[in-house]
Formats: sequence, structure tokens, C-alpha cells
Amino acid sequence: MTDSTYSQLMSTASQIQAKATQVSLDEAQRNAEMAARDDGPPVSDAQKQAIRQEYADIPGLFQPYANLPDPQDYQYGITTLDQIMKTICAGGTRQPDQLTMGYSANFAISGLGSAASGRLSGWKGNAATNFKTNFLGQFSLRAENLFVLAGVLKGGLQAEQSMWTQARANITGIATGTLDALDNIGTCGQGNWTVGLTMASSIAQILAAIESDGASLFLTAVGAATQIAAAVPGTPSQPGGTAEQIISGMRQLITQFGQQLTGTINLVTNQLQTSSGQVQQNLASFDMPRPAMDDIKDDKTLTGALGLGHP
Amino acid sequence: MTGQDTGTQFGVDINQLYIVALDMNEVSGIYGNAATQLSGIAPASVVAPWLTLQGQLMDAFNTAVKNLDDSSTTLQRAATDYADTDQQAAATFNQLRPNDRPDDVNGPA
Repeated sequence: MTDSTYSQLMSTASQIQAKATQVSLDEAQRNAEMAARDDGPPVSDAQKQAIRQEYADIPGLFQPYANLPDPQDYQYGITTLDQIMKTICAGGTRQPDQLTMGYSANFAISGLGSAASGRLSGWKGNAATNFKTNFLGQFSLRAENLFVLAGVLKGGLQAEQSMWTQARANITGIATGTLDALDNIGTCGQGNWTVGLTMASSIAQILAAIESDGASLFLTAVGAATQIAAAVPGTPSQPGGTAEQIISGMRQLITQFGQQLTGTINLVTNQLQTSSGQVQQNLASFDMPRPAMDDIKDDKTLTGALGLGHP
Repeated sequence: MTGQDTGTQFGVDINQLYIVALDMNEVSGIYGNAATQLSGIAPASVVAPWLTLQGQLMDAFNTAVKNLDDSSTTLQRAATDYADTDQQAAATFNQLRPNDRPDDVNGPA
């Protein structure tokens, strides 16, 4: 589906309405002629009005889906979050490869994380020890969590982008499929027709979860970049034949599409909601704590025995 | 030059302490830029929990920036105070500061 095809959705809906009405009027006329043999009575105005009324709702069926979000609107955020992830990648091994693939550790961040056990390992003093243990020692964990959280945000935008791309393709497919089926009435191409609904099949799973390595809590993106395994209900083929049958099939497809779209929106929303809840319940695993030494205003106290230590 | 030459205070080389302080400044800048970039993301349509998560990450970045900056300042104060009380260390330390990192962490050869 091209974007221009989707932008013509309501025009296509009007064509479906006109085509279905015309085909049904022709059918009614043929039926009337057959019933009266040869030059039978014309279809009454009341019959015509009933036929027109039968298809009057078609544009309204498509209208709710005529202004779906533009998938391109998400690209800036996805690209920006990708750049952020490149600069804040902390390394570490807690994350699944799917999330870290393509990102190299920023040495400034990873180096800071190892300072407590490396460059400053021998540093003594009350506040110094606390600073190394509670700030530097926990820095890597928190830096990794920030990276994962950025990844979850990126995954959320990718999921929505994918969702709307497929939604536009699906509703456009229903419209063009219906119009094609109406065009094929009376031709050798007439027969059952179908439009595959693919809504939830390729939404990346974006659920963040707090896990523990025995010592600390850390955030991970469960199954990041994998595909949701939930089965998408098969789309039965719709009967061709008459305009009434085709439009009936179209109505079923639109209903099914709407249900899948709602389900997918709920899925994405719930996953992000769960992720947000996990973060909220474990803020201490994300926020870098303020070292007590930062509140020691006097230099001599700072470097004294209760501070960072002094000879 | 050895660690002792640059002034080892309570087990720490003050040059290393100062460099860690500068590293903290650098990381603070990284998170500050990330926060600025993140705040510029405003998709026309996005589910509400995504915005909540965005706010949570923004807060975390800003907290990191604040605490890294403050701690960097604290470590620089400590390193300066150490150097002030150890003239031998101060001599090296004062030479180190203009080209403090990253290669010659023990000061000029």
C-alpha cells in the first residue's frame, strides 16, 4: 500500500458505495426483466431507494479510519532515541543481545562505572567509601537501566509506527479488495475474495521488566525486538457473487479490523503501562543517588576523617 | 613518575581523583545532551504511557546530571584541598590540570 492509496480511502469508499448501488440496481433490473420476460417493468422508485439506502452507510464505515496517525511521524523519535542509545550505552551483560546489538559501550560511562574498583579502589575515608559503594559502585547498574529505558521508549515508538503502517495497509486493502470484487462481478475473475489482516503479527514486544541478579535489581526488555506470538485470527475468504454478498463480507472485515486495531492499541498501551509501573516501583534503580559528600560545604570537613579522608 | 610522586592521599592518587571528577563532568554532559534530545521527541500521536515513560527517563537523566555535576565539583574540591596540603603533590597536580587527561594520568613525564 502506498501512502497515496491510503489518502484516497474515502474516495475509494465512495466508489464502493456507487459501484455496489449500481450493480444492485442492475441486478434488480435484470431480475425484474427475467420475471416479466423480455421488456419487464422497471424497478420501482421505492426499490431503488431501498437499494441506495442499503449502501448509504459505506463511507461512514471507513470514516473512523480515514485519519489514522502517519507512521512517518514516529521516525524522528525513533532515530533520536537510537542516537541517545548510542551515546549512553553502558556496556554490561545483563541485556539481551537483541537490545544491545549495534551499540558499543561509551568508554566515559563504562570507565566511570569501573572507577570504584579500579582507579579509586584504594581510597579510604568515611565519605569516600560511601561514595564508592553507593554511587560509583552502583553507577553501571543505573547507567544500564537508563539505556534499557531508552530502548523501551524506542520500542514503543516502533510498535506504534508498525501498528499504524499495518492499520493503514489493512483498511486500504479492505477498500480496494471490495472494489475489485465488485468490478469482477460477472467476469471470470468473480469468486471468493479475501484481504489478509496482519495487525498484531509484527508488533515488537516492548515490555520492560525488573529482574534481579541476586545482588541488584535491573531493568531488562523482555523479548525485545522479537515478535508477538499471539495468533492473529485467520481472515476467512469472503463470498463473491452479488454486490450484497460482497458488501456483507466487507462489513465483517471492517468489524474484524476494528477489533484487531483496538486489541493492538490495548496491547501496546498495556505493555508501556506495565513498563512505566515497573520503573515507578523501582525508581531507586534508575535515579543516581546524591552522595552525602556533596552536602559537605566546608573543604576541611570534606577532606577530614569523616569526609573523604585526609592525611 | 609514580603514584607516590603525585601525592597519594588515603590510598588515592589525587590525579586520578581529579580525572574521575572530569569523567563525571563528561558523563553529565552526555546525559544532559540525551535529556535535551529526549525532550525534543513529541510524536503527534502516541499512547499515554509512552509519555509517562518519557517523563521518567527525563527525570532520571536530569537527576544524573545534577548529582554527577555536584559530585564532580566535590571531588575537584577534595583534590584541590589534598594538593594544597601536600606541596609535592600540588606541584604535579598544578602541572596536570591544563592537560589533565586522558593519556598521561600521572602527570607530565
